[in-house]
Amino acid sequence: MSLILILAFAALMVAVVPVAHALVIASATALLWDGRLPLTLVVQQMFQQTQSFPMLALPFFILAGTLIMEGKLGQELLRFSGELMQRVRGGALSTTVVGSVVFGGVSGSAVANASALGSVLIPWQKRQGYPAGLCAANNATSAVIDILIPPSIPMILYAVVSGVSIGDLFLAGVLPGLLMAGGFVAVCWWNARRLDLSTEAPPLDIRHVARLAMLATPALILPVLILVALRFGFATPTEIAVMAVLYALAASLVIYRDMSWRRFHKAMIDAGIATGIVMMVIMGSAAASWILTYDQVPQRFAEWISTTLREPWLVIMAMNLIMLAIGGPLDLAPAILLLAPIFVPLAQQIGLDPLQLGLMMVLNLGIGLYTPPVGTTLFISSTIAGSTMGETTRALWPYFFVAIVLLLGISYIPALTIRF
Amino acid sequence: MTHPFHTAPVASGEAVALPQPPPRSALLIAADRVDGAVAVLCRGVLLVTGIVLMGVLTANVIARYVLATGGFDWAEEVPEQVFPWFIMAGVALAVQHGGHIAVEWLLGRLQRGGTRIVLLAGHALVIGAYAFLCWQALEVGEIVAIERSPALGLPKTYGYWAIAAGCALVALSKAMVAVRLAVIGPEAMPRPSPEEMPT
Repeated sequence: MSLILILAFAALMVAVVPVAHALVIASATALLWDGRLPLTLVVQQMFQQTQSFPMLALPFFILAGTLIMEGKLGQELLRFSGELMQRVRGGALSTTVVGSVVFGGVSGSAVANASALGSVLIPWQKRQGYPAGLCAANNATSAVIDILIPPSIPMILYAVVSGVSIGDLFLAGVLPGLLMAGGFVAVCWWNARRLDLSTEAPPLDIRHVARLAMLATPALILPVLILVALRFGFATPTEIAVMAVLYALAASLVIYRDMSWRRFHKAMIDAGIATGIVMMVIMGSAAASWILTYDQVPQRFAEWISTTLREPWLVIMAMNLIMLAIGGPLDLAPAILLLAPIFVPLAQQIGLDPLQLGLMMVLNLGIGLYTPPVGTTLFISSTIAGSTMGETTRALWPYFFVAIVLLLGISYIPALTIRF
Repeated sequence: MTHPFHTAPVASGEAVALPQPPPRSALLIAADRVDGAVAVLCRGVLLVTGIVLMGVLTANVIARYVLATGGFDWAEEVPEQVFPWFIMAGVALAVQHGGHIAVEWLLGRLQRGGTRIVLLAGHALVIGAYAFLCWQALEVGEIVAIERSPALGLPKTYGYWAIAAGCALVALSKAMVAVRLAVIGPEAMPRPSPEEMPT
């Protein structure tokens, strides 16, 4: 039954059927082929996913992020990041990196981040003399920092599939997110030095910086509030996501006075569509996972890999290579939902912490977002910058290097994955 | 607002007739109307269910710290009933916006005609599958009518109705995209905006 499922799924993917629909149709085909189990199982598995309380966090974290990023609060965050970085060599490029860190604290989507920051910063960076391809590469790669800094939509997906605590994953993502940002700032500095581009910024005005910091504070403290609320158990992750929405609404209404019914309406519809896209993949993969588990595929795969490769470090390397290969053509959400049920038992078999695997998976599949030729943030950034895919890809290599070094670090150094 | 193809004022103050757009076929007009109706319905459902979910979850957090009972008994049951409607409205709207993620490796290797055939075949398959799923969801919904939630006494049927309605709307929206694909060609495929992309 699982073989039919895999073959049908592969055929449907090649035939450009969306992943979510391909999973549903392939599961139904496998059940029809087998004939022993009722077809209603597909609908039952789909329905079961809609009853998941933790998944309710998804639309509300997306909504909070949209409300903040598209309002004055988002603009203040960006001004603050620019002010901080503009005196550093390569500061114009680094503003995107730091912007991704601070935007990462309110948004959980790398694609939204790439679009929001790119549309404002790339034209400015080009005017400063940076090549379009480099601006695009910098934007495409920096956007992925967003999904390492809490709240993170991919981490919520992994948590739901693996059973790891959302709070633990959120906290564990902070250090790798900051390390990646540090590495990317170094790449920006190196690029500016290589291109002999110096900074022309006014002298530092502490009062001005302090004023900007104060205006950006409501957004800067949101990730801290989320982590504190999770750590001390004030509310469930879902309830915290709703609180984040109310916080964004209150800040927009009281401090920035830019909230309107129209903005709220649009943000809610966007959040609904994004939730629909992810949930449909979850619903489809639930039916497929049920069939794979029924045939004991994850357990057999885990046994086969661990007996073939024997050494845990080799198994981890193999998992990373598989994820890098799959993360290129397949989007982050379906890749997590397809791979996590197979990799979590394997991780447990070799003594790898599922939390560490979660970080590995999010970072590794995040690299897929800017892997040519189909990476989503790569495509968005190249479009905004007006660069060809070749120009952007040539500028990507130093960023790839930093990301791969960090990936290896997370894979083999458990200390980089902090627990509560 | 003046339609861009009708008339345009010129410096002398007179209006000059601009070229008329090619007339849209009755099929495309019908597809637009069906899509419009589905969009209004789904947007309404998203907004209402989203606000209800927010209200219930907020009230429960407040109640947990204010009431001695530590929250409302029904606070988890309302999302169980409402969330499926929110999700399925989003799923159907995502079809209209082209949001469901596909691997488009093959399309880059095909001519325009081949692309159209592959996309139409895929759409036909999805339409058939979701019409079948809609029927299956209604059947299971009838079976689970006896399972009632402890606090509110609501049957699980409503959740399955959401799945059924969502599947029907997915099939309908896919059919409308297929109409445009057949009449206009592959360039009629909808593309999502970055704000609608979840990751």
